[in-house]
Amino acid sequence: MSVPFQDYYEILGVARGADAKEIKARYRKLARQYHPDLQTGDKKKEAEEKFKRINEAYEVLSDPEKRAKYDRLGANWRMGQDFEPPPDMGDVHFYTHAEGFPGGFSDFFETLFGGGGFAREGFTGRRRTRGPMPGEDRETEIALTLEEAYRGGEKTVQLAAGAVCSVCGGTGRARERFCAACGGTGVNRKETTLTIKIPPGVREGSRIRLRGQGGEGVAGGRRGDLYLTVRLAPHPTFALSGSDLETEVVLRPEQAALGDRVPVPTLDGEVFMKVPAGVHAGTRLRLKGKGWPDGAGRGDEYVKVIIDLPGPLSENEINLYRQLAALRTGSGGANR
Amino acid sequence: MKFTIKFHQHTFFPGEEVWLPVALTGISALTLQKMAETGCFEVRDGAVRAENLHDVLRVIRLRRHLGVNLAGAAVILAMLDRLEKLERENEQLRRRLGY
Repeated sequence: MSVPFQDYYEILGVARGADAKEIKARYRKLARQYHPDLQTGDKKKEAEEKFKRINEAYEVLSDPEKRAKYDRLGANWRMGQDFEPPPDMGDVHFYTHAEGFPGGFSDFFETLFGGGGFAREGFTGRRRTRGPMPGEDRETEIALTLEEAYRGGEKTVQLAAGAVCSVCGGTGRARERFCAACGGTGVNRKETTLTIKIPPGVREGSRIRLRGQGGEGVAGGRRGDLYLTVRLAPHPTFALSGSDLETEVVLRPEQAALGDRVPVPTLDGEVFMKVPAGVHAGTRLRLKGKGWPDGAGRGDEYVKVIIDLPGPLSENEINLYRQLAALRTGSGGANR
Repeated sequence: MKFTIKFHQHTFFPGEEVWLPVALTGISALTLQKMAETGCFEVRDGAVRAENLHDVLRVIRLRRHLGVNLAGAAVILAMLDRLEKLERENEQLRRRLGY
Protein backbone atom coordinates (compact mmCIF):
# COMPACT_ATOMS: atom_id res chain seq x y z
CA MET A 1 0.00 0.00 0.00
CA SER A 2 1.53 3.33 -1.02
CA VAL A 3 0.89 6.58 0.83
CA PRO A 4 1.86 10.17 -0.05
CA PHE A 5 5.28 11.07 1.35
CA GLN A 6 5.34 13.93 3.87
CA ASP A 7 8.33 16.24 3.84
CA TYR A 8 8.40 17.25 7.50
CA TYR A 9 11.32 19.64 7.01
CA GLU A 10 9.39 21.45 4.31
CA ILE A 11 6.24 21.58 6.46
CA LEU A 12 8.13 23.24 9.32
CA GLY A 13 10.27 25.28 6.93
CA VAL A 14 13.62 24.22 8.37
CA ALA A 15 16.79 22.86 6.77
CA ARG A 16 17.51 19.14 7.04
CA GLY A 17 20.42 19.87 9.32
CA ALA A 18 18.40 22.09 11.71
CA ASP A 19 19.09 21.48 15.40
CA ALA A 20 16.46 20.79 18.08
CA LYS A 21 16.41 24.41 19.28
CA GLU A 22 15.79 25.73 15.78
CA ILE A 23 13.03 23.16 15.18
CA LYS A 24 11.30 24.04 18.44
CA ALA A 25 11.46 27.78 17.72
CA ARG A 26 10.03 27.24 14.25
CA TYR A 27 7.27 25.01 15.59
CA ARG A 28 6.27 27.59 18.19
CA LYS A 29 6.14 30.29 15.53
CA LEU A 30 3.93 28.20 13.23
CA ALA A 31 1.77 27.06 16.18
CA ARG A 32 1.11 30.70 17.10
CA GLN A 33 0.08 31.36 13.51
CA TYR A 34 -2.12 28.30 12.95
CA HIS A 35 -3.29 27.18 16.37
CA PRO A 36 -7.03 26.43 15.95
CA ASP A 37 -7.77 27.77 19.44
CA LEU A 38 -6.55 31.17 18.29
CA GLN A 39 -8.87 31.26 15.27
CA THR A 40 -12.50 32.26 15.03
CA GLY A 41 -15.38 31.27 12.75
CA ASP A 42 -14.63 29.63 9.42
CA LYS A 43 -10.86 30.04 9.79
CA LYS A 44 -10.83 27.41 12.55
CA LYS A 45 -11.38 24.41 10.30
CA GLU A 46 -8.68 25.44 7.84
CA ALA A 47 -6.24 26.10 10.68
CA GLU A 48 -6.97 22.68 12.21
CA GLU A 49 -5.79 20.91 9.07
CA LYS A 50 -2.63 22.97 8.87
CA PHE A 51 -1.95 22.57 12.59
CA LYS A 52 -2.24 18.78 12.39
CA ARG A 53 0.46 18.70 9.71
CA ILE A 54 2.68 20.98 11.77
CA ASN A 55 2.21 18.84 14.91
CA GLU A 56 2.94 15.70 12.94
CA ALA A 57 6.15 17.18 11.56
CA TYR A 58 7.21 18.37 15.01
CA GLU A 59 6.33 15.03 16.61
CA VAL A 60 8.81 13.35 14.25
CA LEU A 61 11.56 15.96 14.08
CA SER A 62 11.61 16.68 17.83
CA ASP A 63 12.08 13.01 18.70
CA PRO A 64 15.66 11.87 17.89
CA GLU A 65 14.59 8.25 17.35
CA LYS A 66 11.73 9.08 15.02
CA ARG A 67 13.80 11.68 13.21
CA ALA A 68 16.62 9.19 12.60
CA LYS A 69 14.16 6.67 11.16
CA TYR A 70 12.57 9.32 9.00
CA ASP A 71 15.93 10.68 7.81
CA ARG A 72 16.91 7.25 6.49
CA LEU A 73 14.05 7.51 4.00
CA GLY A 74 13.66 11.21 3.48
CA ALA A 75 16.33 11.85 0.91
CA ASN A 76 14.68 9.60 -1.71
CA TRP A 77 11.24 11.22 -1.75
CA ARG A 78 9.67 14.57 -2.30
CA MET A 79 6.59 16.07 -0.65
CA GLY A 80 3.41 14.34 -1.88
CA GLN A 81 5.17 11.60 -3.89
CA ASP A 82 3.91 8.07 -3.32
CA PHE A 83 5.81 6.28 -0.61
CA GLU A 84 5.87 2.47 -0.72
CA PRO A 85 7.03 1.01 2.60
CA PRO A 86 10.05 -1.20 1.89
CA PRO A 87 10.60 -4.47 3.76
CA ASP A 88 11.87 -3.96 7.31
CA MET A 89 15.48 -2.80 7.30
CA GLY A 90 17.32 -4.15 10.31
CA ASP A 91 15.90 -2.26 13.27
CA VAL A 92 13.51 -0.23 11.09
CA HIS A 93 10.00 -1.66 11.12
CA PHE A 94 7.16 -0.50 8.89
CA TYR A 95 3.48 -0.77 9.70
CA THR A 96 1.84 -1.88 6.47
CA HIS A 97 -1.46 -2.70 8.17
CA ALA A 98 -1.47 0.04 10.76
CA GLU A 99 -4.89 1.05 11.99
CA GLY A 100 -4.95 4.67 11.00
CA PHE A 101 -6.78 7.55 12.61
CA PRO A 102 -8.97 9.19 9.99
CA GLY A 103 -8.78 12.93 10.51
CA GLY A 104 -5.62 12.76 12.63
CA PHE A 105 -2.01 12.24 11.57
CA SER A 106 -1.32 11.19 7.97
CA ASP A 107 -1.21 7.63 6.63
CA PHE A 108 2.49 8.20 6.05
CA PHE A 109 3.01 8.75 9.78
CA GLU A 110 0.96 5.65 10.61
CA THR A 111 3.02 3.56 8.19
CA LEU A 112 6.28 4.72 9.71
CA PHE A 113 5.40 4.91 13.37
CA GLY A 114 2.25 2.85 13.72
CA GLY A 115 -0.07 5.41 15.30
CA GLY A 116 2.52 7.10 17.44
CA GLY A 117 2.77 4.25 19.90
CA PHE A 118 -0.52 4.78 21.68
CA ALA A 119 -3.22 2.41 20.62
CA ARG A 120 -6.85 3.12 21.35
CA GLU A 121 -7.07 0.16 23.75
CA GLY A 122 -4.28 1.46 25.95
CA PHE A 123 -5.87 4.82 26.39
CA THR A 124 -9.30 3.34 26.88
CA GLY A 125 -7.87 1.42 29.80
CA ARG A 126 -6.54 4.61 31.31
CA ARG A 127 -9.79 6.34 30.61
CA ARG A 128 -11.73 3.67 32.45
CA THR A 129 -10.18 4.79 35.70
CA ARG A 130 -11.32 8.33 35.00
CA GLY A 131 -14.96 7.40 34.54
CA PRO A 132 -17.43 8.52 31.91
CA MET A 133 -17.00 11.97 30.43
CA PRO A 134 -19.94 13.75 28.80
CA GLY A 135 -19.57 15.01 25.25
CA GLU A 136 -19.04 18.67 24.52
CA ASP A 137 -21.98 20.96 23.78
CA ARG A 138 -21.69 22.50 20.34
CA GLU A 139 -22.97 25.78 18.96
CA THR A 140 -23.62 26.79 15.42
CA GLU A 141 -25.89 29.06 13.41
CA ILE A 142 -28.72 28.23 11.06
CA ALA A 143 -29.70 30.73 8.33
CA LEU A 144 -33.40 30.87 7.49
CA THR A 145 -35.42 32.93 5.04
CA LEU A 146 -38.29 34.89 6.55
CA GLU A 147 -40.77 32.47 4.98
CA GLU A 148 -38.99 29.41 6.45
CA ALA A 149 -38.95 31.00 9.89
CA TYR A 150 -42.60 32.05 9.64
CA ARG A 151 -44.01 28.75 8.43
CA GLY A 152 -41.58 26.45 10.20
CA GLY A 153 -41.12 22.92 8.93
CA GLU A 154 -38.15 20.75 8.22
CA LYS A 155 -34.77 21.95 7.04
CA THR A 156 -31.78 19.83 6.16
CA VAL A 157 -28.44 21.22 7.27
CA GLN A 158 -24.88 19.98 6.93
CA LEU A 159 -22.74 20.43 9.97
CA ALA A 160 -18.98 20.07 10.10
CA ALA A 161 -18.79 20.11 13.84
CA GLY A 162 -15.82 19.37 16.03
CA ALA A 163 -16.21 16.84 18.82
CA VAL A 164 -13.81 16.41 21.73
CA CYS A 165 -11.29 13.77 20.67
CA SER A 166 -12.22 10.52 22.37
CA VAL A 167 -8.59 9.35 22.51
CA CYS A 168 -6.91 12.30 24.29
CA GLY A 169 -10.04 13.69 25.94
CA GLY A 170 -9.57 17.02 24.15
CA THR A 171 -6.15 17.92 25.54
CA GLY A 172 -4.35 17.28 22.22
CA ARG A 173 -1.73 15.17 23.93
CA ALA A 174 -1.56 11.63 25.20
CA ARG A 175 1.40 10.00 26.91
CA GLU A 176 3.50 13.14 26.53
CA ARG A 177 3.11 13.08 22.75
CA PHE A 178 0.78 14.68 20.27
CA CYS A 179 -2.42 12.70 19.97
CA ALA A 180 -2.30 11.01 16.56
CA ALA A 181 -6.08 10.56 16.49
CA CYS A 182 -6.81 14.30 16.32
CA GLY A 183 -3.40 15.54 15.18
CA GLY A 184 -2.97 17.37 18.48
CA THR A 185 -5.96 19.64 17.96
CA GLY A 186 -8.07 17.94 20.66
CA VAL A 187 -10.95 17.95 18.22
CA ASN A 188 -12.28 15.50 15.67
CA ARG A 189 -14.32 17.05 12.93
CA LYS A 190 -17.22 15.09 11.53
CA GLU A 191 -19.65 16.04 8.76
CA THR A 192 -23.24 15.24 9.60
CA THR A 193 -26.48 15.93 7.77
CA LEU A 194 -29.40 16.65 10.03
CA THR A 195 -33.03 17.29 9.24
CA ILE A 196 -34.18 19.84 11.76
CA LYS A 197 -37.73 20.74 12.65
CA ILE A 198 -38.12 24.51 12.73
CA PRO A 199 -41.00 25.71 14.91
CA PRO A 200 -43.25 28.28 13.18
CA GLY A 201 -42.53 31.89 14.13
CA VAL A 202 -38.95 31.36 15.26
CA ARG A 203 -37.03 34.64 15.61
CA GLU A 204 -33.59 36.08 14.95
CA GLY A 205 -31.28 34.94 17.73
CA SER A 206 -33.57 32.12 18.94
CA ARG A 207 -31.63 29.10 20.11
CA ILE A 208 -32.74 25.63 19.17
CA ARG A 209 -31.44 22.89 21.42
CA LEU A 210 -30.94 19.46 19.95
CA ARG A 211 -30.36 17.12 22.80
CA GLY A 212 -27.67 14.49 22.21
CA GLN A 213 -26.47 15.95 18.91
CA GLY A 214 -23.30 17.49 20.34
CA GLY A 215 -19.93 15.85 20.87
CA GLU A 216 -19.66 12.18 21.66
CA GLY A 217 -19.18 11.19 25.27
CA VAL A 218 -16.14 9.26 26.41
CA ALA A 219 -16.24 5.92 28.23
CA GLY A 220 -20.02 5.77 28.26
CA GLY A 221 -20.59 9.48 28.99
CA ARG A 222 -23.71 11.06 27.50
CA ARG A 223 -23.48 12.97 24.24
CA GLY A 224 -23.44 16.74 24.43
CA ASP A 225 -26.17 18.95 22.97
CA LEU A 226 -26.18 21.00 19.81
CA TYR A 227 -27.39 24.60 19.97
CA LEU A 228 -28.47 26.27 16.76
CA THR A 229 -28.81 30.06 16.77
CA VAL A 230 -31.32 31.28 14.21
CA ARG A 231 -30.18 33.96 11.77
CA LEU A 232 -32.80 35.49 9.49
CA ALA A 233 -31.65 36.40 6.00
CA PRO A 234 -32.60 39.86 4.68
CA HIS A 235 -35.88 39.80 2.74
CA PRO A 236 -36.50 41.78 -0.48
CA THR A 237 -40.09 42.70 0.52
CA PHE A 238 -40.36 42.61 4.30
CA ALA A 239 -38.43 43.88 7.28
CA LEU A 240 -39.17 42.45 10.71
CA SER A 241 -39.27 44.84 13.63
CA GLY A 242 -40.17 43.14 16.89
CA SER A 243 -43.43 41.38 16.10
CA ASP A 244 -44.36 43.77 13.31
CA LEU A 245 -43.61 43.45 9.64
CA GLU A 246 -42.85 46.42 7.45
CA THR A 247 -43.30 46.68 3.72
CA GLU A 248 -44.09 49.29 1.06
CA VAL A 249 -46.81 49.84 -1.51
CA VAL A 250 -46.51 52.12 -4.54
CA LEU A 251 -49.60 54.19 -5.37
CA ARG A 252 -50.34 56.34 -8.38
CA PRO A 253 -51.12 59.99 -7.52
CA GLU A 254 -54.86 59.59 -8.24
CA GLN A 255 -55.03 56.48 -6.01
CA ALA A 256 -53.48 58.52 -3.23
CA ALA A 257 -55.88 61.42 -3.86
CA LEU A 258 -59.09 59.44 -4.27
CA GLY A 259 -58.37 56.31 -2.24
CA ASP A 260 -58.47 52.73 -3.55
CA ARG A 261 -58.25 49.05 -2.71
CA VAL A 262 -54.79 47.80 -3.62
CA PRO A 263 -53.05 44.43 -3.41
CA VAL A 264 -50.26 44.21 -0.82
CA PRO A 265 -48.00 41.27 0.03
CA THR A 266 -48.26 39.52 3.37
CA LEU A 267 -46.54 36.37 4.60
CA ASP A 268 -49.81 34.51 3.99
CA GLY A 269 -50.07 35.74 0.40
CA GLU A 270 -51.53 38.82 -1.25
CA VAL A 271 -54.41 40.68 0.42
CA PHE A 272 -56.37 43.78 -0.63
CA MET A 273 -55.88 46.83 1.56
CA LYS A 274 -58.16 49.85 1.69
CA VAL A 275 -56.23 53.08 1.05
CA PRO A 276 -58.05 56.15 2.40
CA ALA A 277 -58.52 59.16 0.13
CA GLY A 278 -55.89 61.89 0.48
CA VAL A 279 -53.17 59.64 1.87
CA HIS A 280 -49.68 61.19 2.02
CA ALA A 281 -46.38 59.67 0.94
CA GLY A 282 -44.69 58.06 3.91
CA THR A 283 -47.92 57.26 5.74
CA ARG A 284 -47.84 53.83 7.40
CA LEU A 285 -51.07 51.91 7.03
CA ARG A 286 -51.69 49.05 9.41
CA LEU A 287 -52.85 45.55 8.56
CA LYS A 288 -53.86 44.24 11.95
CA GLY A 289 -52.75 40.73 12.86
CA LYS A 290 -50.67 40.21 9.72
CA GLY A 291 -47.33 40.45 11.46
CA TRP A 292 -45.11 37.88 13.17
CA PRO A 293 -46.52 35.25 15.56
CA ASP A 294 -46.33 36.56 19.11
CA GLY A 295 -47.51 34.23 21.84
CA ALA A 296 -51.11 33.37 21.14
CA GLY A 297 -51.57 36.32 18.77
CA ARG A 298 -49.68 38.05 16.01
CA GLY A 299 -48.09 41.42 15.43
CA ASP A 300 -49.23 43.81 12.71
CA GLU A 301 -47.99 44.57 9.24
CA TYR A 302 -47.23 48.22 8.45
CA VAL A 303 -47.42 49.26 4.83
CA LYS A 304 -45.54 52.44 3.97
CA VAL A 305 -47.09 54.50 1.16
CA ILE A 306 -44.88 55.49 -1.76
CA ILE A 307 -46.44 57.75 -4.41
CA ASP A 308 -45.00 57.50 -7.89
CA LEU A 309 -45.98 57.88 -11.52
CA PRO A 310 -46.77 54.60 -13.24
CA GLY A 311 -44.38 55.18 -16.18
CA PRO A 312 -44.62 57.21 -19.41
CA LEU A 313 -47.86 59.26 -19.35
CA SER A 314 -50.28 59.34 -22.27
CA GLU A 315 -51.13 62.62 -24.01
CA ASN A 316 -54.55 62.53 -22.37
CA GLU A 317 -53.08 62.05 -18.88
CA ILE A 318 -50.62 64.92 -19.42
CA ASN A 319 -53.51 67.20 -20.41
CA LEU A 320 -55.43 66.24 -17.29
CA TYR A 321 -52.38 66.96 -15.13
CA ARG A 322 -52.09 70.37 -16.85
CA GLN A 323 -55.71 71.11 -15.92
CA LEU A 324 -54.93 70.04 -12.36
CA ALA A 325 -51.86 72.27 -12.28
CA ALA A 326 -53.90 75.23 -13.60
CA LEU A 327 -56.50 74.62 -10.93
CA ARG A 328 -53.80 74.50 -8.24
CA THR A 329 -52.20 77.74 -9.65
CA GLY A 330 -55.59 79.41 -9.58
CA SER A 331 -56.05 78.49 -5.97
CA GLY A 332 -52.79 80.08 -4.88
CA GLY A 333 -49.59 78.33 -6.16
CA ALA A 334 -48.38 75.68 -8.60
CA ASN A 335 -46.58 73.61 -6.02
CA ARG A 336 -48.93 73.66 -3.11
CA MET B 1 -26.42 9.76 6.03
CA LYS B 2 -29.74 11.47 6.68
CA PHE B 3 -31.90 11.13 9.73
CA THR B 4 -34.57 13.09 11.45
CA ILE B 5 -34.11 14.22 14.99
CA LYS B 6 -36.50 15.49 17.58
CA PHE B 7 -36.83 19.20 18.16
CA HIS B 8 -36.37 20.46 21.69
CA GLN B 9 -37.28 23.99 22.64
CA HIS B 10 -34.51 26.41 23.18
CA THR B 11 -32.53 26.91 26.36
CA PHE B 12 -31.68 25.05 29.56
CA PHE B 13 -34.45 24.90 32.07
CA PRO B 14 -34.03 27.55 34.76
CA GLY B 15 -31.67 26.25 37.39
CA GLU B 16 -30.45 23.41 35.20
CA GLU B 17 -26.71 23.43 35.69
CA VAL B 18 -24.31 20.63 34.92
CA TRP B 19 -20.95 20.53 36.74
CA LEU B 20 -18.23 18.24 35.44
CA PRO B 21 -15.31 16.95 37.49
CA VAL B 22 -12.20 18.26 35.73
CA ALA B 23 -10.17 15.23 36.83
CA LEU B 24 -11.74 13.63 33.75
CA THR B 25 -9.36 15.64 31.59
CA GLY B 26 -6.32 14.64 33.61
CA ILE B 27 -5.62 18.12 35.05
CA SER B 28 -4.18 18.24 38.54
CA ALA B 29 -6.12 19.91 41.33
CA LEU B 30 -3.35 22.50 41.74
CA THR B 31 -3.41 23.49 38.06
CA LEU B 32 -7.18 23.72 38.20
CA GLN B 33 -6.98 25.96 41.26
CA LYS B 34 -4.51 28.22 39.43
CA MET B 35 -6.82 28.31 36.42
CA ALA B 36 -9.70 29.36 38.66
CA GLU B 37 -7.55 32.19 40.05
CA THR B 38 -7.23 33.67 36.55
CA GLY B 39 -11.00 34.26 36.67
CA CYS B 40 -11.72 32.39 33.43
CA PHE B 41 -14.26 30.15 35.07
CA GLU B 42 -15.56 29.11 38.46
CA VAL B 43 -14.33 25.91 40.08
CA ARG B 44 -16.30 24.09 42.78
CA ASP B 45 -15.02 20.93 44.39
CA GLY B 46 -12.79 20.17 41.42
CA ALA B 47 -15.62 20.64 38.92
CA VAL B 48 -16.48 23.29 36.32
CA ARG B 49 -19.74 24.10 34.61
CA ALA B 50 -20.31 21.95 31.52
CA GLU B 51 -20.22 25.01 29.25
CA ASN B 52 -16.74 25.91 30.59
CA LEU B 53 -15.16 22.54 29.82
CA HIS B 54 -14.31 23.73 26.32
CA ASP B 55 -12.39 26.67 27.81
CA VAL B 56 -10.53 24.40 30.23
CA LEU B 57 -9.37 22.26 27.31
CA ARG B 58 -8.41 25.34 25.32
CA VAL B 59 -6.24 26.60 28.16
CA ILE B 60 -4.50 23.21 28.42
CA ARG B 61 -3.81 23.11 24.69
CA LEU B 62 -2.55 26.70 24.58
CA ARG B 63 -0.17 25.98 27.47
CA ARG B 64 1.18 22.80 25.97
CA HIS B 65 1.45 23.90 22.37
CA LEU B 66 2.49 27.52 22.73
CA GLY B 67 4.11 27.53 26.15
CA VAL B 68 1.93 30.41 27.39
CA ASN B 69 1.33 30.58 31.13
CA LEU B 70 -2.12 30.47 32.69
CA ALA B 71 -2.45 34.25 32.93
CA GLY B 72 -1.51 34.55 29.25
CA ALA B 73 -4.01 31.86 28.28
CA ALA B 74 -6.71 33.69 30.25
CA VAL B 75 -5.96 36.92 28.36
CA ILE B 76 -6.07 35.03 25.04
CA LEU B 77 -9.50 33.57 25.87
CA ALA B 78 -10.87 36.96 26.86
CA MET B 79 -9.55 38.57 23.67
CA LEU B 80 -10.94 35.76 21.53
CA ASP B 81 -14.37 36.13 23.15
CA ARG B 82 -14.31 39.83 22.33
CA LEU B 83 -13.20 39.12 18.78
CA GLU B 84 -15.94 36.55 18.27
CA LYS B 85 -18.54 38.96 19.64
CA LEU B 86 -17.35 41.73 17.32
CA GLU B 87 -17.37 39.37 14.34
CA ARG B 88 -20.94 38.30 15.15
CA GLU B 89 -22.08 41.93 15.43
CA ASN B 90 -20.29 42.77 12.20
CA GLU B 91 -22.00 39.87 10.44
CA GLN B 92 -25.42 40.91 11.76
CA LEU B 93 -24.88 44.48 10.58
CA ARG B 94 -23.78 43.25 7.15
CA ARG B 95 -26.91 41.11 6.93
CA ARG B 96 -29.13 43.96 8.02
CA LEU B 97 -27.60 46.30 5.44
CA GLY B 98 -27.90 43.58 2.79
CA TYR B 99 -24.29 43.18 1.68
